[in-house]
Order: sequence, then structure tokens, then C-alpha cells
Amino acid sequence: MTTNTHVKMVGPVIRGVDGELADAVIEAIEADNPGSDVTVEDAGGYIRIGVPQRCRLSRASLEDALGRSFELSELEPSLSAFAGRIKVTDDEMLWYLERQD
Amino acid sequence: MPSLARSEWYDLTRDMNWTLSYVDQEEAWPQDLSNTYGIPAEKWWGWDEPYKVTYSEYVHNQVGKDAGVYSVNSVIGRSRMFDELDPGWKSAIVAHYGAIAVPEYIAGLGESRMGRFGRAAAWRNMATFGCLDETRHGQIQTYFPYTLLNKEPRMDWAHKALHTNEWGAIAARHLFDDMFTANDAVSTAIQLTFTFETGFTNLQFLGMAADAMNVGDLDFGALISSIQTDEARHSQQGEPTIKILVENGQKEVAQHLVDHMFWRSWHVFALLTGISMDYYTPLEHRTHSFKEFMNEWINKQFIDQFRDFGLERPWYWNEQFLGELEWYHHALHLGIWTWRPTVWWNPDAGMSGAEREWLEEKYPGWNDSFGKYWDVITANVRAGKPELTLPETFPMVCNMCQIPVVSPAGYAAGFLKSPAPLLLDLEGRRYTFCSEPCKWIFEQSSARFKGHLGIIDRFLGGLIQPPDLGGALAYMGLSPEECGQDATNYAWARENGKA
Repeated sequence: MTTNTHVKMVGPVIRGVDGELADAVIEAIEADNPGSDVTVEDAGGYIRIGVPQRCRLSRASLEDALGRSFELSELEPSLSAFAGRIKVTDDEMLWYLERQD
Repeated sequence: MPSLARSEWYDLTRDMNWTLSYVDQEEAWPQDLSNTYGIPAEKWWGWDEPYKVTYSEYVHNQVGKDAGVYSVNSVIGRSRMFDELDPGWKSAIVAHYGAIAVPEYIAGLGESRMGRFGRAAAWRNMATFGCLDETRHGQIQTYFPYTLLNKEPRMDWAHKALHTNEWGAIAARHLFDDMFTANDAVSTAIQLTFTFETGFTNLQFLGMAADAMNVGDLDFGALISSIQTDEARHSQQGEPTIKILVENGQKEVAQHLVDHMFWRSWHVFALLTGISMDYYTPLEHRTHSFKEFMNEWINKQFIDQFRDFGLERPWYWNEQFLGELEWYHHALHLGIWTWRPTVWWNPDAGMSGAEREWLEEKYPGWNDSFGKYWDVITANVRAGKPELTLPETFPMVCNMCQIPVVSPAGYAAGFLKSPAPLLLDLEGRRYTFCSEPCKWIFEQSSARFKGHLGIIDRFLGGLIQPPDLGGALAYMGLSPEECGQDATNYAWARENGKA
């Protein structure tokens, strides 16, 4: 956690027209980041989902939330932006920042 | 479906790097097109994009994106949605298409340069997708306004603007030539994909998408938020490029490239997005002020990310940048509304009593600084003398950002130490700048910039004839029907009168 600066929030920004998927991503991120405070800001045209410093989104949790099979690469048409750096593997997306100050 | 997981074959199919034997490195990747900054070829081969996509995933996703956005356009095109939009919002859209559509094609040139001259196969692969992305953005943002031509003839500025000598178009070309057309691949990755796309395009494409959904412009909101899903991916070419520079002792190069392009991007987005959000968007639909969007997308999200690579805020951050955040776009708005015949959209003064209250709330002190100018303008309009609100001559234009020098307004508002422009005499020519960072950028690469003639240089040099406002409007490609007028025919002044 940061000290005297602002809390660095990381995570996806989903297109506002894809509300259903955004809901599933929120549910999955809550499941994948236990103990972290997940914030959601619905700005109409986009929905910003944030977790302090490190945000995991696994394919398994997203499939659970959606109730169907879903490849992470299928998220791209809804992923308008993200905060933090990204790392994509077969089974999860990770947004993170390393610098502490 | 492939039976192997993507990670099991992705690197193998992507990494087509080899040591050249028939030609030397410099012949295949000339420094002018791909500056190594002294880093050996093999080091560049470690370039690894953090946001991965395969060709089959790419085409699958892109076809779906286009199908979604074009179907929205097709349905809405049959409705009265556009007719019912607020006039100020329509102006923001007309300004957007003129400033953005053709530059998307130009960005495609920058991407294709990286697609050929990027110093790793992985990078060339990502840039090829980026080139296809930008081609899509150019096509879709000329097609959407095309479908609106029967309702707003100036939508043809989506295609026309960048082919004219309109002053905003000159400013846009100067910026985009610096950033994509006349830039080497390595610098493009840091300036276009990282600084411009990871940072600033979010402001216009997502900030305006937020407002668009509230305004009820589903067409524009769906379009620009979809475009940004491409940007979110191909902008990630910046990170691995910065990493290689930093790991190989060239952190200062990366920092310098960001410092240069951050300031240039700031100025053009203050002009385009700043005014659209704080003046043209109908008050009841403004989700945030421009400054609040800047804080969210730039001062937090972008800065957190680029400091994570070990870089620091630009040298002009506290004094010049945070200072201008308070006043610069207000001064530009005042100027653009006054010089409204010189732009291809209808500037919306946005000066009703309620709008002025909102500005004072979001920018405390606005009434005492910028409000005073508008008091005089409003009085002239109410007195039935709108001609007194129009210009008879021209402002000075900055020889770096090519945007009018508005420092007197910044000085009067208490944010600058002097109202005077900054000057530089070089090889017998005098150059004028609006700000310290603009002058600094010019001086860092004066050979690159010194030959350019700004609109005022052309005017004073006799290139614009006859040398008056009429001659200048013709030179800028603006017929009388196309010249900007007040967006609401001064309704804001009447409403103010009643209040």
C-alpha cells in the first residue's frame, strides 16, 4: 500500500454499452481478489473497476459469473482501457503496479 | 479450436528474428526510420508485448466490433436522434471528426512504420495489428459523419479539414507529423502509443463517451468507446520499448520523448476536449469537468503507469502544467468563440447563468477572471451589437503548438508572471511561443521545427491574399456558409437576461 500519496487503483475500464459483461467482470474480480476493496465507478459511457495496486481476473471466475464458456481474448471488444500495467496469460488477466512511492 | 493453449505456441510463431548476412543492420533498419539509441540488435529482440493477441483472435474480435458499431449506426440513422441533439454537442462532434478522422489514417502510417522498422519481430507483429486498427478508425470516423451529411453539411470536414490550411488543421498536422509521419519507429512507440494513446486519447474517446451516453448520442458513444478497445491493446507497444531503453541505460531518452509529447498532447486536447466538455456539452449532461477527467485519466492513471517504469513527471509539471490546467482551455474557449468564423464548427459560448455558476464551482475564481470578458461580450450581444464580439485582426500563434497565444488571459487570471509571449531569435528569424515548454521543445530540436511557417508567418509573409480576414478565411478553406457562428444564435445571452 502506498504511504502518503494516493492509493493507486488498477483494473479494467469496460464499455458502458456492455453492461451485462461489466457486471460479470465485477463479480469475477470480487471473487478473484478476496480481501481487497473493489471499487466500481459507472460513468455511463464506461465502467471503471478498480482494486488497489493489483487486480486479478481469472477466466474461471468470469465463466462462473457469466454462466458460460468465455475466452479471455473475447474481453477485448469491451475493454476500452485499463489502469495499471497489464499481463495476460491463458487463464488470467492481471493489472498491477510495482512502484511503491 | 486449437488443441494447444495459446502460450504454448505464441512466442514461437511470433519471434522471427535472425542475424542479417546479406545486408547490414543500418541498411535494413536505417537510424532515421528506427533510432536504436545505441542499443544492440539482440537486446531489442527481448521486446515482449504485455497485451497479447493472435491473428485469428484479432480478426474474430475486429469483425465483431465493427458489426456492433455499424449496426448501431444503421438503426440510429433511421431515427431522429441526431436532429434532437443539443447544438453545442453537435459542434463538439463536428469538431471531433474534423480533428480526428484523417489523423487516424496518418496514425496508420506511424503504425506501419513500426510494423516494418520496429526492432523486434514481436513488435512488428503488434504494430501490424495497430496499422489495421488505425485504418478501421479512419474508415469508421469518415463513414459515420458521411451518414449525417444530409443533416449537417459540415460533417464533410471529417474528410476535408486536414486537407485545408485552416489554422486548427495546421496545428493538427504539425503535431501529427511530429508524432507519427516524420518520426522514427522507436520514438513513435513512446510518443504515439505510450504518451498519446495510453494517456491522452482516453480523455477524448472515453471522457466524451461518458458524456455522449448522458446526452443520448448512442451513435457517437458506441463508436468512440469501441475505437478505444483497439487503442487499449496497441498502445501497449510503449511499455516494452520503454523497458528496453531503461534497461540499457537510455532512461533519459525515454523521459525526454515523453516530456516532449506530453506537453504537445496536452495543448491539443485542452483545445479539443477541454472546450467540448466544459462549454459545448449541455450542462445537465456533464458527468465531470475537463479538469476532473484530466485528474482521473492523466494525473492519476497515466502518471501511475509511467512512473512505474522508473520515469518521473516532466520538469514542467508543477509550475506550467498544473497551472495551465486551471486556465488554459478557458482562455482558448474565449479566443475560439471570438474567432469563430475561422473554425469549421459552431462554437457554443455556453454562457447561461447556470453554466457560469457551474464553471465557478468547478474552477473557483472563474467569474472574476474569465467571467469578466464574457460580461462585456454578453452586454454587446444584449445591446444588439454582436458585430462588436467579432475579430478584425489575428492573434499571434505559437511557433511550436501552432495554437493562438493566450498568455495575456492567463496573466490576467493570475496564473502567469507575464502576459508577453516568449521569443527566440534564430538565424535571422524571430519565433514566438505561448509557454516555456513549447519554447523548450522547439529549442531541443530546432533543426526539425525551424522551417515551418505558422498561419501568422504566412499572413505576414504575404502568402495570404488579400491580407485581411476575408482573404484568410478563403485561404483556410472556409466559405461563408462553413464559417463558424454562435451555436445557439446567442440564446445564452437572452436566457442570462431573464435570470
